[in-house]
Amino acid sequence: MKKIVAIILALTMVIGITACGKQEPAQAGTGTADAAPSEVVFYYSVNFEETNWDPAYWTAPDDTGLGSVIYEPLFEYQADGSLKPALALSYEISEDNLVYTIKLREGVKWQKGYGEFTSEDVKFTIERQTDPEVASINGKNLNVENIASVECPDAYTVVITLKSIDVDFLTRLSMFYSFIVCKAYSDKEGKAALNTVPVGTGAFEYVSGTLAVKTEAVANKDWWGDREGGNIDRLVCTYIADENTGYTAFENGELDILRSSNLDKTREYVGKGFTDVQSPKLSLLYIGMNMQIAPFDNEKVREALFCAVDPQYYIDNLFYGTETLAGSYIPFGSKYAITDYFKPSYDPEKAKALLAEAGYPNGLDIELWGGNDAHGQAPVIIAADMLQKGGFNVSIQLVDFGVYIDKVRKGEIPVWCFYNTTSNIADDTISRYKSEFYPGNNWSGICDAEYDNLVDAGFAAKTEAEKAEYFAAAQKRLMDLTVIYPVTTNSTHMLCQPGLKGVKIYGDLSFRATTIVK
Amino acid sequence: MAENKMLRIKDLRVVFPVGGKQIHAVNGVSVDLAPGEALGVIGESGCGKSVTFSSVLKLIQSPPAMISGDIELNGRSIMDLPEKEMQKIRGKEVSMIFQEPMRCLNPVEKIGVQIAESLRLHEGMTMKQALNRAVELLKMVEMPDAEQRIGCYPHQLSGGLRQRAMIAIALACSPKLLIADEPTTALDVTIQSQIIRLIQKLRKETGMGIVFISHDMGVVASLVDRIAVFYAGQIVEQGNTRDIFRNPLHPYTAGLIKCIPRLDTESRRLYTIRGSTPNLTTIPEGCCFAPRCPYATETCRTVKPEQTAFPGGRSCACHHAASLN
Amino acid sequence: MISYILKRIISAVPTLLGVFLAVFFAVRMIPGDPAEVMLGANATQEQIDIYRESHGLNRSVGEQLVIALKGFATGDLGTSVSYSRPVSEMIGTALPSTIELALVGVVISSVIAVGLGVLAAAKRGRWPDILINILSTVGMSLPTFYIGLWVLTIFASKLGIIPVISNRPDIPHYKTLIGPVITMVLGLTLVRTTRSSMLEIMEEDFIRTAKAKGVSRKSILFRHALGNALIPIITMIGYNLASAMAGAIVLETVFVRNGIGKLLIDAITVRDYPMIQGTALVIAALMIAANILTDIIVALTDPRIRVTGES
Repeated sequence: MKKIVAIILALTMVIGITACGKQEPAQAGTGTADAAPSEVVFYYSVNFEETNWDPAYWTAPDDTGLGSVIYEPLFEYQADGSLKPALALSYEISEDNLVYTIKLREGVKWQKGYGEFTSEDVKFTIERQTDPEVASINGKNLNVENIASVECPDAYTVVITLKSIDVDFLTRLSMFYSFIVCKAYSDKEGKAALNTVPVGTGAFEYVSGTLAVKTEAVANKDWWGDREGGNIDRLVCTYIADENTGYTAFENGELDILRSSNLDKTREYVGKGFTDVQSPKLSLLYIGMNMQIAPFDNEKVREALFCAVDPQYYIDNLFYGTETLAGSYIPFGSKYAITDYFKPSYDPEKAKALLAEAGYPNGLDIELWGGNDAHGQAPVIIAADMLQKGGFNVSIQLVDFGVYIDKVRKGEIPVWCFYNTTSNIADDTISRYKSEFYPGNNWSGICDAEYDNLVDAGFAAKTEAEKAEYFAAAQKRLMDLTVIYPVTTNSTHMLCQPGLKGVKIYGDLSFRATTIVK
Repeated sequence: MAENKMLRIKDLRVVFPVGGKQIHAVNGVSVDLAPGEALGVIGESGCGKSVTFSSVLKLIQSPPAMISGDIELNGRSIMDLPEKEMQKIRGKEVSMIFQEPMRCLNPVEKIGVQIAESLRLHEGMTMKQALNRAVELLKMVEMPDAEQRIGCYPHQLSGGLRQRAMIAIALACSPKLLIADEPTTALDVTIQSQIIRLIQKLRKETGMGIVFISHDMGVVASLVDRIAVFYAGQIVEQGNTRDIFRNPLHPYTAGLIKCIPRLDTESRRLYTIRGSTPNLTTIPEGCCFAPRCPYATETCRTVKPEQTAFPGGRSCACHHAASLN
Repeated sequence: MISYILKRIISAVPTLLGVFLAVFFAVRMIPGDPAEVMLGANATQEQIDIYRESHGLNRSVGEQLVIALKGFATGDLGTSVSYSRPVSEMIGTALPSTIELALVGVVISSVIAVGLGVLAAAKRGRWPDILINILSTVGMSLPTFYIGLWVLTIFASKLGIIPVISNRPDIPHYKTLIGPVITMVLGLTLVRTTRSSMLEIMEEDFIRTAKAKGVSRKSILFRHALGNALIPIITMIGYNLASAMAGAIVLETVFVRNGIGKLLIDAITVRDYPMIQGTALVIAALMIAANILTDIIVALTDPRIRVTGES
């Protein structure tokens, strides 16, 4: 009898839990249950999902996988650096370059019935950057401290007054951190509501999502914009952490598109008839040194390292010709990047000679650090091999990102090989190497008064040309210090199923399914 | 005569291969049992008595064991019977009870169910009928509160009660032969005598034959008609109980009898047979008992003694049997 | 029995507190800061400071401990640093999926493994035994993710029976379990336990009794031997269930299933302290629950244990 009770107990648990388990996907998929069969569904994935839907917390436009199709900025950043009106129609800048009068698009509807988009939403979006309750991390990016006031003379006009000239202010308004959020929604549901469900004006409307699992969005029928023939009715964005699983799913046709960080795989699939879309080059592969740590405080040692690196080898063997020489530590896709200053000369014999001059005739022991992910390891191993030939005795330290970033910020890593992505305005990367940011974001320990002055002058510039001039000078100064070796450009690859049309990666590296024809 | 025997074992040999060596557990045992007869089987542990009678139910896994000779039950040889046929004999014609009732009962099944299993197998009873019969059987083995006890698990019973349950299982299908393999060895002395009396009573009531295996001459004395003394895988002497006790022919038998503690002796020390049982991996040339025998001569050590018949249906394998007599 | 269960549950509380404290300090000892990891390579100190302040990371470890302990006492697991959502809410969404996977996987793989173990014991030393032994050795020695990837390649890519991405709306629910369950079955951890317990019990005296009663070989194997071997087997299944809760980490990652294991892995990557603490605590609680459940089922199966528990 008791045995039967035991068996029944066990079975009940199994069945009970199985039933619970069944309920949950049904709930998650309520939006799809009644989907019309003719609906065109676009499947894609992200490999890491930060599921906070509030752009105030994002560090990139695609943190959520869907952010840049749900929200829209006032202006859309184009790959060539120009701006295209989005929620804004036109703008006027006062003669003193401090007052921006922006005319807004009329008749734009907020999703989920939150009424019409107005100037109040723009004011709200900007002002919440300084709201301690919101605790936005992007206030600095928008340079919000430089904004004196935001006024709304009428529903379709917004007037922004700056404290001092900011030649990139309009560009800032085109970035993901300036995505306009809905005031009526925040007022009604509370400030934290923006974390959980996004309400935007964009081409797609959020339907449902399970955190760290997947998100679904449907085409916004009221969208003002032009889909250029795109026919996607529904987006399903799945979170796939394991790289191999992603490739298997893509090959199986379960994903229409796959962000591919393995170039060997990318080439293999292109060979099989899939297509590859490459992003603008807003990232680069570089070798950095900390010039505060011996022996890299010795200029001869740094020069020796520069001589030992062969960027062409990377281009030919790691990137199969899809990338080019970097030219500066600011990538090409970024404003103010200089493109032709850095001319590396590969000469391992000279490297050895320089090391001998520096007092290391029998070679120099160094620890080369890098990330332990599949994507990050290969360049480190290649670099170690090259440096070995140039007279360095390299031991490799591959660690996880958390450990790496902690140590490098504390100034505990002497030399590393890493990828770096810069925003469209180069401000972040240019300014991080100022002396005040060491230890911290200035990983290389560059404490150079001349560089600091050039950067400050760039930020104070009254015109774009002037800023470009100072920033170019700053970059040259930094390159002359021979402390950051920009090896090659680096870009994202999107593998597409055959027949997929209209796939674009935008100038801000965002991927939007709006124009896709499936 | 031969047709009248219910059990006939002829020149049984059992060899166990163990780690490259061979253990000759049983070395040419021949013994008979008439219907209703009670045979006592005496010998020290490891002398082959259990193996011999386990072979009657083919409980010895073969292979690995190598079994030769012949065993007949009611005139039918079981040596080549298929497993299915043996299953019909086991528990139905011949039953067996064992030494440690705790370990011989299934610990996770109730007593009643364990008794019922045989009845359902051999008598085709339903569970309900079988359980009713189980109560009767428990009453028959004098189990107190039989109705309640069928719902008990083995660990809830005392050693004596467990052995009664074991006997009830064995007797469930009224077998013609009960092989009791040291059924009292693990029990207290008072319980021992209760069980012996019970077996005596049951024998009278059912008229079944009994093979009572024990290492203790004293225990079997009152119970059996005939005694077979085992030593080193052989029978060294058999005969009527009374004859054997009065006049043991084999020095080993004599030793065993001397080992029984008696109240009427002057001696303060218990008698022991010096030495220990031989290693069964090799069969010695001469008499197996010779190394321990006080009467051993050169002949004993080199020439194997044959079974010799003596008056009164007795037999003995000893060169000196006649002279000792 | 009920008082016994209560006692077990109460005695689990100090264990859980111990786990909680151990995890609390362990995660803070790993180099790396949640704000630094979340904000990435280009984060300025200013951004990091804002992030740390808004997520309570600027407080001293002592203060954080007090807050965490208060939360532990009141059942509040805090707010995830990376998701900005209550940890309990995140776990609540993920938990049914993990428990479902663990239970279904363990039940199915147990039935198969016990079957194979009994077969191996019955055919001891002959080819089925040898074959099963080889299979289970291979299964046990290969890492789960490796088996998982092969299952994915074979069943999803080559045969097209199962989906790679489990949480698609157009996939029937049962199909999403096939891949992980096959992987768990191929692990075959229970085969050896079953085989050895069966062989041990087949040597017991009561098996000889059953044989002497005339019980058939099949009945001896399944009723008498397996009936007794079930006790070590259930104990092992319970252990498997407990480890399956933790082992779900790998399966959930490979088979793109929602679940608590995946939450934990992500949380460790980004140093999401409250999430690591919460998921580790829940996994520990599940393991303890699986152990208690096992003990209860064993007690119900084994009459000997039940009586001592009662007395």
